Amino acid sequence: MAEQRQDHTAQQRLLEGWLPLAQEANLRYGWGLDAAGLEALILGAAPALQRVRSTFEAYAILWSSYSHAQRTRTSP
Amino acid sequence: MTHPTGGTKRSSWLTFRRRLLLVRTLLRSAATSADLVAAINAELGDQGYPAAASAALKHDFDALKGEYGCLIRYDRRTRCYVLDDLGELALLDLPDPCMEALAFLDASFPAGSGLPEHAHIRALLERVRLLLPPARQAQLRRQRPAMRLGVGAGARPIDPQVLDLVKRACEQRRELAFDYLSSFDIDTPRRHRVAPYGVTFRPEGHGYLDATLLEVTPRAGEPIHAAIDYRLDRIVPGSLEILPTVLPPERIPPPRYTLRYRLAPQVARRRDVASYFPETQITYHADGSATVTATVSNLWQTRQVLLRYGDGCTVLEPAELVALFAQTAHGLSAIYAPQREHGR
Repeated sequence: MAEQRQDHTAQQRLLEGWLPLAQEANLRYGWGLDAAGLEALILGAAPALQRVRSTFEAYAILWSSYSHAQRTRTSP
Repeated sequence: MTHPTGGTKRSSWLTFRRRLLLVRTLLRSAATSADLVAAINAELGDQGYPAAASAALKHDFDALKGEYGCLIRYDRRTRCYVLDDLGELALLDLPDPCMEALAFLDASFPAGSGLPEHAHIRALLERVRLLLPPARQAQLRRQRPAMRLGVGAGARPIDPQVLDLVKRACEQRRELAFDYLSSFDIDTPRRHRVAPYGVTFRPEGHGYLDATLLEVTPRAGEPIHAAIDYRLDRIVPGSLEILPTVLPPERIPPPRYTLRYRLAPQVARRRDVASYFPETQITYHADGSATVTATVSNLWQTRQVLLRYGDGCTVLEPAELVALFAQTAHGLSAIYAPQREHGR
């Protein structure tokens, strides 16, 4: 139970930190993602995002993660 | 065809190189004999020391002492060799202006005070001094520099573990949590969770962590995402925790404020007003006063800067800063007004 709560807190903190950048990418590339979509995008890309050294790299990761999610959704 | 002297030359060169490597390794830090042998062998491979290296190592030390006048001693407590003096191998010499610069740094960052120790400036200066020939070392000791940087030395010491963890969190771009006793907390520190970005030492000698506030418990009116300078000596030692959350490369944008203040003629009439803030624009008026506009993100720090003008400065915006000044003025009035009335 305590572990679950800890995971939830860690997840919230991760989202809090990365949401502004993901929202910026959302606007820049016209993805039109809502809050839930942005959260899913960040959580999906989280392991790679933690290793980036620059904002450009972070955008590239988010873009690649978004494209991958789109392909998965449209493929039969 | 053989070269009778080639082998000897090669061997002499190797010996010389090995000894120079010993000195280089000891210049980096004191070292055990095992560390020294490992460092030499890492560089020279199978041309380094043989398996039983102690006799060869001792021979090299003797040669460095005898031939070059190096002072190398063995510290029994740490079991390390320490290089105290380079003797003839003190190969660094500097032009006189650089000697003056060295003396300036030496006087500006004295041993035992906060900033020089924390930023390892003393260690660097000692190393450079060690590399100078004896005559230049003596000149440096005699030199009385006319110029020095006024860095305050009276600040409270910073817990080394606090500084170490703060630096590590900044380097790893990870959130940091700690208990902090601000000027407004009477006796109980509060828990802050922040995004750390760097450490700054100010002229008065205090070290600050530049961070963005993410959470504080209990809250006391601090705006979340505000840029805050935390005094490092007020972070409670032992309370720091580097959290697993990795921060984005770009700083979480703090709230930005347009700052506008008016400087009275006694401050601005020479038309040489300092630009303390980003995007500063100064308009001088015919009566000698000036209006300054800029962009700021840390209102507390802005107030500290503008207070230097005393009543020569009137803050016009933002409203939040005007309120902070009103609060300060009220406090100052509470301190001084009764005295003034008493004196009448």
